[in-house]
Amino acid sequence: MRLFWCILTPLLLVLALGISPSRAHKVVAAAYVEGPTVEGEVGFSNGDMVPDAKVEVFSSGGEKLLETLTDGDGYFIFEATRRIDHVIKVNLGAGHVAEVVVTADELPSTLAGAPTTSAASPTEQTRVASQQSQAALSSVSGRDIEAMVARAVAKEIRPLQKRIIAYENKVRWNDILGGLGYILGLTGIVFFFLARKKRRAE
Amino acid sequence: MHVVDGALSTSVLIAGGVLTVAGVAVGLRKLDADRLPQVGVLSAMFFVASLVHVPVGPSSVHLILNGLVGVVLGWSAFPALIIALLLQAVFFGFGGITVLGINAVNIALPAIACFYLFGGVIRSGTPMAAMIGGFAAGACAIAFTCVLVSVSLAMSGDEFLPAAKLVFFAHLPVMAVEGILTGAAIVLVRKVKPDLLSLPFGSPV
Repeated sequence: MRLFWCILTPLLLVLALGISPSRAHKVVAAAYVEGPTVEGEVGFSNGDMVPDAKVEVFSSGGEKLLETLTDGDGYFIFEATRRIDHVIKVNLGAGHVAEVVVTADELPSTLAGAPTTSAASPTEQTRVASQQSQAALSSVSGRDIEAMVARAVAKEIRPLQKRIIAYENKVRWNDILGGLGYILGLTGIVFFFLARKKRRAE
Repeated sequence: MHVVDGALSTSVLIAGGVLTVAGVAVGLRKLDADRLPQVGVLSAMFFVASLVHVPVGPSSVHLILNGLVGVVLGWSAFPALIIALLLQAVFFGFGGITVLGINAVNIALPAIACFYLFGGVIRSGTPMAAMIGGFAAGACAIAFTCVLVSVSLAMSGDEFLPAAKLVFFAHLPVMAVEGILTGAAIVLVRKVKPDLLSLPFGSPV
């Protein structure tokens, strides 16, 4: 009987309060690179976006590069000026933090690199130069295509994201039952050890 | 209230881990077979209560119910809470594995403090006094947890006062809800199942 209530009581608690268990509030941040522009979004794991959140960008060495705010829909945007790793940090306070890294090789090679790596070997410099001149020839169409592809992919992905969120909400119920099962099982194991100790003492 | 991985400095994490190991050891030593079902039920309750969310501003806070766990279980709150916290981290992504220790300290120490502060009046006071004691235990446990979370954030570099204020004010509704829940639960338990509060106060088993 006790075991029965062990499972039922917490479930009833959630049901009685009529609250869906989906409102987890883990902060999720993502960033996409388009040319030198870094676009990103900040939201909670239930799909709510976070407007007016402070987004700070650091170099991999910990030097603060810039900070910006998310707009009304939780999106932020900034221009990378150097081709180095960008560590994007969001701190919503009270331990709600998230971190995304945009690595240097995601950014276009036209940007200046980190001070230490800028002194490249002469052959490398010429190679970069020739790549740049080649890129300049086809840059207009190439850029446009890239932007179009990025936009199209983002559009296609959105319904999938929604389905994933719905799926996660469903899985959560299984997780609840699984967790309660673990607690039940662990209680049983402790019972076993306590009983064995008692029998030995007798 | 669950601090996530990466928000705290290593020294805070280690301190939390050490305190938790000690707390769980004390809790397990004071645990006997008769009271084990209570530990299991309250652990399960704590595990699920975290899914009950109260929206506050852009974020939301969830029930913790560590006051209720504390006044019923005393020191055995430590093992009950650590199991539930571990499962929450694994299943729901609340908190994390590296911050498990410090989260357990932040939630279990206030629970035990409430046992010593309000356990007596809840067990032997008049029904009215027990209800008020339950309300105070539910609300104070959250307030203490807020302070401990702010302290652990402060020791990791956050400014103490702004962080503390933010956490504290965000959890005012939770304090009210948990105070009422704990008070009501205590009154109900004293009426229908008094042996749930059988843990003798004064010499906590």
